Amino acid sequence: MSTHAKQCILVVDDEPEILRALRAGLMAQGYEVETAVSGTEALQKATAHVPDMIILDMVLPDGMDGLEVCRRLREWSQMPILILSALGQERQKVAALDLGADDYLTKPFGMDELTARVRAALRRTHAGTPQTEAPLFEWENLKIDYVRRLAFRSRQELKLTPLEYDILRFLTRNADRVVTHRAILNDVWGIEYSEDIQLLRVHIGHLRQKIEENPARPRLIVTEPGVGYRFKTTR
Amino acid sequence: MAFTQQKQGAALLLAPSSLHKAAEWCYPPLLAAGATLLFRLLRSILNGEDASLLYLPVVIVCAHLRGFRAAAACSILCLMCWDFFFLPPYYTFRLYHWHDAVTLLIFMLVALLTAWTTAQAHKNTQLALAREAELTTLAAASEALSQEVTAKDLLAQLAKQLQNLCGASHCIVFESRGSPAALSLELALGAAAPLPDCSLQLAKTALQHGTPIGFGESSTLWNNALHMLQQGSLQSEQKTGVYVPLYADKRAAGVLHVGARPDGLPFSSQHERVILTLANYAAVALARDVLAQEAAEAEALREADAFKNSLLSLVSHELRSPLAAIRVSAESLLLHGKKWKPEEQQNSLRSINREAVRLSRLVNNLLDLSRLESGAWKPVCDWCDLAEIAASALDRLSEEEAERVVFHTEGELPFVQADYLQIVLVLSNLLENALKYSPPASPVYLILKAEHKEGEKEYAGVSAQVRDCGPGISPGEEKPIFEKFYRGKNQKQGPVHGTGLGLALCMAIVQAHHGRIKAENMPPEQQRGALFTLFLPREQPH
Repeated sequence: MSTHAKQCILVVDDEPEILRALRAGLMAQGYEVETAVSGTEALQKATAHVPDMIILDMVLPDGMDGLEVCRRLREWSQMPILILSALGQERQKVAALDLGADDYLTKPFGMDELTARVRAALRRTHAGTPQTEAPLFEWENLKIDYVRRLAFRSRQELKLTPLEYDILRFLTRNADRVVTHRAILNDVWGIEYSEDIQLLRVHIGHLRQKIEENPARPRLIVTEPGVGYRFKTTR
Repeated sequence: MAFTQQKQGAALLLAPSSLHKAAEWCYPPLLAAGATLLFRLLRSILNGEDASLLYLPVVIVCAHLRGFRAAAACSILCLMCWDFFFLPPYYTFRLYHWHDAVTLLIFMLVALLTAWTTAQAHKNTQLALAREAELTTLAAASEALSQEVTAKDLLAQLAKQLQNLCGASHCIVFESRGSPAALSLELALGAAAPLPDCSLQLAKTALQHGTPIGFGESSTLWNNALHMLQQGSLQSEQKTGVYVPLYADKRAAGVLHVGARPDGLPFSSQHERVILTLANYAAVALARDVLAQEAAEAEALREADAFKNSLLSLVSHELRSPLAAIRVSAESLLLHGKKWKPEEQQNSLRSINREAVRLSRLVNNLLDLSRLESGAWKPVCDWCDLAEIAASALDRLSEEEAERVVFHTEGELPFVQADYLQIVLVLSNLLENALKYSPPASPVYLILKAEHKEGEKEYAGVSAQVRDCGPGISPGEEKPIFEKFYRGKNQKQGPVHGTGLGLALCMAIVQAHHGRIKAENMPPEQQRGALFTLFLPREQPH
């Protein structure tokens, strides 16, 4: 896809005021915007227009909620999905992320936050080489050599245990994406450990001690309360 | 088949009481034989007439132990032994001398008279003792009733007394909530075997008729009830006990069931009196419980009403002012915005945004609190690092707010069982509070440390301290500031906006975590300021 063409975003929400505000905000940022007010319409438009990204509210009318739309979309598309959820829908949020949604925002949110998340999601899919195949990862003074399984901080090799390295690899491969506890546990430990969040917390703690400047205020591996972690390469 | 089994059951039930009766009639012959043997040994030093010296005490002992009838039997046996063994002609029941016959007759009269007096005295003592025990029990029960003990405790106590006083095998209280048809088993004491199926039915019958059943040998109500149950084969010996309906203020409170004595004897009239009196106490206790519950419900309703009222006043004050600000700014932007300089427009937009943020914070707090209070938001606990939670809480603050917070942990922190999101909410509320109520640019301290069990190395939990350099808390406000919609006196000065909900939310969450939270001022020798201390236990009870 040409980078000159306007990128198209499909916004799905049943509240017209929110749709209007999002359309105005996103169009001001130079995106083309399609809207849908129900799950069924969202799937129709997604098939007809194939947008570059979809912003999806969890609560939708007509019996097909955001979770179901997410599941159906992932059957044929890898387009980034940004979930909008209200207070108290933590479980649904995590379920959507586990189903393959890329990110979430809790209502009410600011437009700044939303555009930052949209930019990050689109950048991931349109980066020259998909990040999942790059042999090297570099951010600030941190460098990871995926081929030799080594990590460096300010050119100094970090002494990481194999588990810590695997967590770091998984987080950086998904940089700027929320990864759920379950996703990390599945990838690093295997499916039978997917509920052991405490285990993960201990190792994340150790990892932060080694790579963060101030482990008490982590800036790289940030906690997404109740959901998981995000490796942040944006300010 | 079932019939024969029941018969066997009846035989088994009968067995203990007949054995008991047989044992009772062993006393007279044994005592008489013992006395005869003793007199035989002492024959060399005593005359035949002196036998009365030995036989009379024996009769008195028998009267004391077994009552008048046994004593009379004993005296006849003694008389026969005396005549047979010690009065000539020996080993026959005949007599040589008239004066022997008179001696025997006088002995008989004296023995019977003494036995009668002794037995009567003994019986009176026993009665007095029983009465005393009865009165003590009743006094204890009425004392317990006048004190603030729960109905459950009181019933347990009554049941124990009934078992002691009347020898009841078990004691059960069925509680009735509303209609007599809805009886539920409230408390069972000493019921070893499972209750017979008919118990509940009998209890219901007693409650419906409003009279106790089971007292006396043949109660028509009892028989009717049994007949109704189509268990005609049940013998009277098989009575399961008595059923006393409990009425207080003409309201059916329940049924007291006292299990039959294990020895098969019926309850005496004294027992009946004790049972009926204690049943009255039980009725009062149950009724009081119901009243207390109703009072609590009324209180809860009243509180809910008060909450609604304060919510209304909050809506009118706290929600209206940001809404008004937003409307004014937005409308003037729409009307005159085009004529304004760009920075004026920006200012106006910024104020709209600021008020909207304030509004959403308020709505979030309200929603969180109502979800917590309705029990819809129970903490989902897993092992958390409080330092990580604190970092998340700091992330929720704005950049300049976060810069004012001095955060450090003292030593190693153990993980604690907690709901991550809820504790983030507590810490960020405490921090926001401290930032709001202290001078601009003054630091706010957040200190985490492990708490140990007293005198042990084991961790009790983790505490978090949030300290500011503000005016502190007015004396007497340390507790009320955790109440909903309470605004401290110091807070009313100055342009501080709050919801009066943040600390109430903290309190609700911390209580749901079985933790503690308190507010105090810094000690006078140190820098002025308020100090909030949160303690979370390491583990949550299951």
